[in-house]
Amino acid sequence: MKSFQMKALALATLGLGGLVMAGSAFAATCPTGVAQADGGAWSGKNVVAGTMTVVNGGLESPTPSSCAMSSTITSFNPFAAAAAVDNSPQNEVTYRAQFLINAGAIVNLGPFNSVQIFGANAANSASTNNPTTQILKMTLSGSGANNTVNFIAACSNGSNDRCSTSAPLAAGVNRIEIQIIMGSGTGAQLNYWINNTNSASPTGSIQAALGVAGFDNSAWVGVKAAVLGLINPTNGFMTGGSSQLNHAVLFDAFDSRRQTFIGG
Amino acid sequence: MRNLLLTACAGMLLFSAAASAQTCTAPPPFDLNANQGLSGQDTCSGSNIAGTLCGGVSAPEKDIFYSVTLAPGYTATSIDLTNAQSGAEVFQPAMVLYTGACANGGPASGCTATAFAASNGANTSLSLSGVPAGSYFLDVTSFPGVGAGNCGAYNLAITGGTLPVKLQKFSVN
Repeated sequence: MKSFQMKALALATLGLGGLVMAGSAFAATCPTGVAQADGGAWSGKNVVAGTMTVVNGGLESPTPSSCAMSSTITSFNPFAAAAAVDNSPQNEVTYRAQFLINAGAIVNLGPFNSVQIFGANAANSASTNNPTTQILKMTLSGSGANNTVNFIAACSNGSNDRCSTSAPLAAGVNRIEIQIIMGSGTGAQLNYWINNTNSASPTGSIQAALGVAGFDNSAWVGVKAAVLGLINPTNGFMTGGSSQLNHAVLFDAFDSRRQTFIGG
Repeated sequence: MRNLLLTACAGMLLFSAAASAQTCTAPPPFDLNANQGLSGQDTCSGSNIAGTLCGGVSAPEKDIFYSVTLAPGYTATSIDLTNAQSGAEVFQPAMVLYTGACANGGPASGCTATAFAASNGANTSLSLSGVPAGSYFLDVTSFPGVGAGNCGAYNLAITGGTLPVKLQKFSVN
């Protein structure tokens, strides 16, 4: 099958990746926000009890991009969100996405507290066991002094229809890439790369965590929307000794495609 | 001679409508424009239909849905939930107002309005400030993350609803 970059998602790439290009060529002026209405290129935003701003200084290395997205949960609210939304995917049955994240401000979160940092959503929920629209929900939690990224995938397993795995993040900026392949029977895959540009050797996968060759996520059809930023903080993220209120997480260089590995 | 019969119905009309096991196919209406309240509701009779709310909020709690139409020029300012948990029920209510597909719990770009109670047994109120006229789903559920066992009885009412005035008969003799 021919590999090609998703034409529709060029807008999403321009949302932050475009700022990288501008930053490397000339002194770019950051837009006032990431949504199209604010001069950015994302379809929309979801901000409740939080702030989402574009800040000077991106996360690319060695040549930093000009701007990054800063997401912060500022007050206690179970519906809190500070996320950008890309509605350009069209029920994609193969989907890759990559972004840079610096969650260094999130400290001592603990293993039982979390916040979503990325979501790949279906157009419709599919399961009575797990009536979610989220084909992939990627969350951040803590493990000692380090942060962990959790991959929670919709999967038809006959029980809770949810399959998950996790991996540690390095301090500072991390480059995370995911690949979603929709399929029935054992045809589905979810692979991830963390600070890893070797397309042939993913850092991990849902199927590896399950000890199987593949799983079944066909009921969710395909990716219809992507959500990048903070959303769905647990109570422990917002209260108590592990509270992360007003701790900004930076995102940059989002790219998404149907087929080809994005890499470094 | 003119005979004009104008019947004005004012005040809160409370309708008891037991919330039966629901799907999103045809949620019952909650009529803000008629200043209607609903009593005798109970999320324990529902099931988890929207497992994700507002594009990313995991919500395995039970849902009871209503269809809500805000007519142009509506005057209601809030939807008010009075917690009526009883017996062994433990209920920390939340409300979500959104557009799109009912079972999907709102679009990825977020819900139109949300509200939540601070604790089990507490009331909550969903502000309609800035909510444009249109058709919505109202999901009465529990505080996201408290667990599927959290549910309970409640009543719904409206603050500032439009005064319903109906012209029932008009004749000119």
